[in-house]
Amino acid sequence: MGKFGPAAPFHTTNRYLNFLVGDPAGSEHLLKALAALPEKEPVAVIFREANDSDTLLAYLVAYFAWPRPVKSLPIDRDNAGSQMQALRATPLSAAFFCGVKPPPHIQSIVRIGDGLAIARRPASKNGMP
Amino acid sequence: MTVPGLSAALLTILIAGLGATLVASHGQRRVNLAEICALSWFFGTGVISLLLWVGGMFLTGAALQGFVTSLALGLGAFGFIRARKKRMRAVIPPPSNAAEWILAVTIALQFAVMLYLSFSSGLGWDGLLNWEIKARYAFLNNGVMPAAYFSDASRDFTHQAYPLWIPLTELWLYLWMGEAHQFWLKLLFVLFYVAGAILLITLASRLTSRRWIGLLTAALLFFVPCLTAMPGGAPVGYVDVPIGMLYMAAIGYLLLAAERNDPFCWRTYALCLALLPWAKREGAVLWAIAALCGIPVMWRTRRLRPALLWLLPGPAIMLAWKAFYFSMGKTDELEFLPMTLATLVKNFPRASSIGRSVIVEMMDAKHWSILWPLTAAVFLWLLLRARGRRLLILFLAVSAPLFIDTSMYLFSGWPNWTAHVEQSLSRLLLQVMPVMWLAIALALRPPELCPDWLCSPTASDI
Repeated sequence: MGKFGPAAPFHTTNRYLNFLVGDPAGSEHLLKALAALPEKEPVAVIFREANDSDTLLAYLVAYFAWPRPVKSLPIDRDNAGSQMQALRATPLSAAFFCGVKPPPHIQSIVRIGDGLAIARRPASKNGMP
Repeated sequence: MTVPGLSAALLTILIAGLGATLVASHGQRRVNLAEICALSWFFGTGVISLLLWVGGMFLTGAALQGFVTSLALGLGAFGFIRARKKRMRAVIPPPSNAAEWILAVTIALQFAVMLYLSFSSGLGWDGLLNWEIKARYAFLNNGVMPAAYFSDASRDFTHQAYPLWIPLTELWLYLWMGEAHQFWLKLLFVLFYVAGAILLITLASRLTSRRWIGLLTAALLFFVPCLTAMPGGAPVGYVDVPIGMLYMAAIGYLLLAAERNDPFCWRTYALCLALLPWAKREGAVLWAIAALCGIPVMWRTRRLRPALLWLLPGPAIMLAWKAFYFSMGKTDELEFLPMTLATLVKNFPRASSIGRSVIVEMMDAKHWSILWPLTAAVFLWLLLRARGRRLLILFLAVSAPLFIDTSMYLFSGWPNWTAHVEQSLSRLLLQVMPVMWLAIALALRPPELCPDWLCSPTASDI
């Protein structure tokens, strides 16, 4: 149980995002980031499946990303390389790194709080860099 | 717009439910207003969600909202006119002594605490990602569940196969409020608890012919920790408390019907029964058990043929939902393995571990306090006192769903099936918890000084 209210439309998701990435208005920020993406193109979520917080964060991204299809890329020590390969090969409008550091070569990153990074596809490409 | 919209949504739910309840009450001269309101809430959510689902196949947006509103108001008006023609009177019997007043005030305070707890908690995992998410997607799609959602593999975690009682009731609030609102939504679950507690008071009072017992059981119900302080409890938007209350009502009205052969009890039992499969997949199991308990009673009261007709809506809703779901292009059930003999034999060694988990969970005082040992003692006490059909029905109603639902873990398709048990077992127990209070109420009844038929007051007196 937390404190009473506030009577806000994103009461629950903001609580979760505040807990997960420290952003009390995370829902609004996530929706703003998603609004800049095309509605019909998929996005990817990259997260550590063994980590419940990362998984919840990935699900929250999927929750807000509708109607965009979501490509789920769970990673661990063994498959990180191959999942990054898959990320490059998949046509996406953006990749959401949930509790995972994005590769250093990816440039245009938007961050929501501490733990959610969004990499948008460069205008000229299909897959991620 | 938000609060007036919310009020209009709740009012239309109650009006639709009132229509259904008054039709079920046909022939009654006096009815208990609190009971009628509680039943109206359950039936209203059922009517509205079913109308939204069926109407959504042809209409969208304002047309869909207008269509559902007109039918809801029409049903309410139909029930009201019929009740007036029969000169039905609604009464609220006040508490008759100091003890009853104290218990009634305590219960009212508990309702307020539940509201406070609800508005102080977020929706739980399932509350958000199984139920509210569907309401949100339907709201964003003009009031209709998007067809693409059902076949979207990336949303498998939202359990697309689960039926839509809760999501479409939530959608109704969103349509009236004009926005998806995670805070006000939780009011629904407080109302399910309040309506369930009122029905527990009513049923336990009638079954024992003592109103103080009904009030006491409802007051004690609040102190079961899992109801307020656990994932799955009433404040966090899960379906397990509402479905448990609905199941308790079905069994309670069946027990009354067995005793009094009252058409109102039969019809109410049938309506509760019809909604169970629409609530959750486990609702099909609860429906089967409640129907099985009902058949011998129907046989005995010579109501078998008409009553069998009353059993039809449940399977009809179940089959319609399955057909709809499969028509959306989804056929696989990821959560469970195919239910074949080979799977059963292969996974049978899980049985001892499942049994141990059930016992450990039941003994967990942080979740259940002393409820399960108390229930075991109650059944033993009732067995020693009177071995009647009430006891048999109640024992079946509690034990059979537990046996069947926990046996399903033999077919769990989770890679780590023990995690499946850990995450969902307490909620399976929660679904049968309210019905156990009917057994506790019966055990509290003092030894009879006179037979039931002499002591039982009329329905509206309690």
